[in-house]
Amino acid sequence: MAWRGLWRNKRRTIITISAVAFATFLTLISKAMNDGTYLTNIKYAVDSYTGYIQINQKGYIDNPTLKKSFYPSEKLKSVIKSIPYLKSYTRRVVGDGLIAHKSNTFGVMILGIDPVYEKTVSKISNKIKEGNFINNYTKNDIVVGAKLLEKLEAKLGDSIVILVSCYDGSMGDMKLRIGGIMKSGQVETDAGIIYMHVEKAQDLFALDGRISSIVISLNDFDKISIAKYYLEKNLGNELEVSDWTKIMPELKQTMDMDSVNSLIFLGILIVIVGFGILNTILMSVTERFREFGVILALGARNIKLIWVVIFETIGISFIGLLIGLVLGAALNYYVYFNPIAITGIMADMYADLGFIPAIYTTVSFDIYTYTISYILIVCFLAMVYPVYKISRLEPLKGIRFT
Amino acid sequence: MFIAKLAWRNIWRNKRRSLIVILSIVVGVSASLLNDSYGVGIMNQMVDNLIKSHDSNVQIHKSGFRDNKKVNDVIPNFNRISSILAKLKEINGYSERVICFGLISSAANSSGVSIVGLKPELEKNVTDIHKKIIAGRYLSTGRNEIVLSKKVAEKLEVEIGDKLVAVASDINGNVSSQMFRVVGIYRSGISEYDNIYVYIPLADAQEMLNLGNNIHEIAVSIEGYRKSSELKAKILSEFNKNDIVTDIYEVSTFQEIMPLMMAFLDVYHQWSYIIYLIIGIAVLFGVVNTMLMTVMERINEFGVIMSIGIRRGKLVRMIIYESLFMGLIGTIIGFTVGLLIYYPMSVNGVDMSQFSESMASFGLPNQIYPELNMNVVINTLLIIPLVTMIAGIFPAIKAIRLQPSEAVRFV
Amino acid sequence: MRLFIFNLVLICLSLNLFSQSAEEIIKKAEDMIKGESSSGTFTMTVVNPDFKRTVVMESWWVGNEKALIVIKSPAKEAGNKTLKIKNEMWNYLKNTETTIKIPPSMMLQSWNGSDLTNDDLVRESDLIKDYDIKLLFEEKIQGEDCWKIELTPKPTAPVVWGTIYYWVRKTDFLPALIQYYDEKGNLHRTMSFSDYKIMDKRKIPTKWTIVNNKKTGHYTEFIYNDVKFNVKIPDKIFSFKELEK
Repeated sequence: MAWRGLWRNKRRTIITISAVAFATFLTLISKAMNDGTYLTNIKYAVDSYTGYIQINQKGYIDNPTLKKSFYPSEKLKSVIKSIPYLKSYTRRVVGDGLIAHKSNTFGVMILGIDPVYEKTVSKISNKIKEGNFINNYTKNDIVVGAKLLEKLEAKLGDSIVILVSCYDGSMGDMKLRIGGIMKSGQVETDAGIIYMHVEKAQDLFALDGRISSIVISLNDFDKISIAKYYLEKNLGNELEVSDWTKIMPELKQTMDMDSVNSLIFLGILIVIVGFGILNTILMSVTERFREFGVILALGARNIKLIWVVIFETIGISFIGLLIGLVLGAALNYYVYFNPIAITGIMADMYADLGFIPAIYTTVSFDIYTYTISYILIVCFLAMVYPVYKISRLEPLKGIRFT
Repeated sequence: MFIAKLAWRNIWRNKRRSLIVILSIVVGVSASLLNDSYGVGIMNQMVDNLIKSHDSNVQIHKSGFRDNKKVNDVIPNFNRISSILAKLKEINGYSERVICFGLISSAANSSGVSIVGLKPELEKNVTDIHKKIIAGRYLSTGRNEIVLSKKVAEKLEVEIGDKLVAVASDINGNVSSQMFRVVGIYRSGISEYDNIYVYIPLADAQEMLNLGNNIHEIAVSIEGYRKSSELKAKILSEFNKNDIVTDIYEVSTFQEIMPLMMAFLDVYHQWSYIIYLIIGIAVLFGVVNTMLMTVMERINEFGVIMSIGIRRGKLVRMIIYESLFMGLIGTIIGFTVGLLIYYPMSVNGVDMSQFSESMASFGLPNQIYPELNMNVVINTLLIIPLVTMIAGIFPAIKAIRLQPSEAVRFV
Repeated sequence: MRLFIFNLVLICLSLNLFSQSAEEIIKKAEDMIKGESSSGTFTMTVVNPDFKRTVVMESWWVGNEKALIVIKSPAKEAGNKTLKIKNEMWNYLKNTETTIKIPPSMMLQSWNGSDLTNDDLVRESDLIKDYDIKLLFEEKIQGEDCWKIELTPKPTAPVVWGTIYYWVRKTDFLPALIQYYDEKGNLHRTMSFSDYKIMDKRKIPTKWTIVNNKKTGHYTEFIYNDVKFNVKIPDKIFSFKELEK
């Protein structure tokens, strides 16, 4: 009887279904875009430099010094190779020193990277503006930021001198060539960091084969804790494993803050669309009170009517939900593969801030469970009042209902 | 007008239904109000914080100093500039400063810092570090005093009364060092500033760097960050009036000093419009749905009305009025509700201290005060009624499609 | 009454004498180990829990005004030089043939990895200028009678220390031990002198040990291999041209 009831008034039913469908659709894509963009931005930041997980000497993250470097033993390498969800890893040497050209001397941070593996772990190599990035053919070349180049009054191809304090305390110095210019968009990076070949850096700092950190990239962002647990179990006591939240705690906090904001926003959205659903379901029930009055007068019991309404509502909810999910999923998938690019001035600003100028979505399971649960809750809540009204309905009252 | 009255009465024919629609609008409007005012509050406070902590509205230097802070690039004839500024009534004040990069060290540790030499009685009119002292006091007329942030003090393992040595390159390129005693510890709430700025008396800085009477920077403060460009224009025109050659100086507004911050503000601005859009769409659909239903169930009536001669156009207008009125009522109530919630928040602030590190890295304090400005008010008051008006269109058109005779028989 | 006043005056005088002596004692001790000008070779050994490093150097000093230190071994560092003129310092690096002036930000970094900082090398002379010197009492250090002298920085002296205790041997006015304390009373650094020998007709401590009291196991030893005093050192040695040779 419920089913027939539904289709007797197609118009009404369709309107109600579309209310639910729209609510579902809106919730789904809002959450998907929110989560998607958030996730993509974290990944971007993590991919750009820090990597998902890092292995360092104990105490390095809190107090990074050259002294806290370590030998990458064979055992370590085999442990790393069997990390679950491993995508790739690379080694780095980090130290500081002075760079000099003509009479200009500046303090810089020196990053020794592996030309082949670094590309698989971070996006540093993408930021080259002119010249070449670090490679295995020109080990004597370094890459400096555009701002530093300006301060040094140098140009591509010039020779510069690097002066450092070595691992053993002695002074180290090397004459190297500027092989590439980088523009990362962030002034402090461009003015304060230089890149060189990891093996050359090891020579410069007299590290005798030691490195500062191993940076690891995974296939799945959500599996970071699993990989981290595995490493902690299998690494010795002198090494420590850190994920990006430990290396960039401000990023985590910013993201947390953002997610609180978006949770509030989504909540408000659901309340608003919830009202829409409530009204439509309510109306579709109350406008039939006359019929219900008749049915009751004919002897049917209130409880039967209640069940009818409940079934109707469930039917409508599910159909609406399904439609909304399908449409929402379709849009999500489309945007997932074709992110909406933000163009114009905003795009540049975004890039400068280190964010990607686009809106992304995610296709993870979460958004569906989130959406489905909320919409169903709203639908059931919307049922409460009408059901209550029906339970109180008396035949005559119903018939006289206008 | 008759149509409007009719529309109004129609709304109240089914109180419950209309109330639910109105309620959804109330939620939408108050949420928009609060969201936007919160956002505006954050933006303004961020900028304010940066300006009041150190940068100020306008900075005057010798040309080129902003990009490359060399010790010998002192402001030529700064006295003339100061006397001009002293006469400007619209400013809060101006401060003469010496800026240099140096090293401060204690027995335990050392730290690279930006040393700012200033005169407290001038500086107090420009920045509010003196209000952000958490231990000890601000600089006074004494010598060899230093005020630094809690972070740096912890790194150097010093407290009030402890000794520090500052080392920097003076105007001749020679290494110069001087002893200071910690008199105060501050917390600006902006991570970056805390990490680098330390404050010493102007006279000490000038002595240490062998600058004689010279200074590097004059910071000028005026109320309201948007006034910075006006201030710059005023200063430049005063320069012209007093025959000061302007191209040896650079007069920079806050926006020019912090272009990234301005970009950030703009991005946020754009985002807030998108929020309005989404809320608008949510409300729209709810209203369209409801209106559709009420229109459809009154098709019979409409048929009757149309057959007695009332033109379709009027009918459309009536339906649109219905949704518009609901929109207006909802907006007014929503606005009021929003205001009621906004008011205590704007006085007591919203506590964000569990995110304090992130807040500090953005330059925000832990208490955020939402702010209402004309923009927010106009947006909130206009958008939803507009939306509801649009919401009425589709149902209205559906209603008039039918011929009167069919309409009467519609079930 | 007159006797009392006389005694008082005597005591005052002797106290006065004592405090003047304290300054003189310090000055003498410092002069003993610096002299007008000197040149010599010495070996520096840097020790910390991870490793040990030995460097052989040759140096020329003119009082505390100018100094040139050239590294002779190990091969990797041979040819590197440090030049000091008044309170400024330059490093010359053989590998790249570049001379870099040490900026203020590097002044507090260790000199060649030792427990001395660049600043220590550059600033040693100012004890008399920057400190109030007071004789405390006598004490035995390594079996020798010494004066224990307390040095307190003058109010505006740009030094981080709170107090320096300086023990000078009574017999030969040579320094025996120096301890550096911060204002809170924590001992940061100890410089001890030993192996007193005659070199170029002068008795000097040939072994100087600098212990970092904050980091266990960290110390640096300087051992004089040979030294000549009051040598005539041509001024051009302390020039940049000489650096780059």
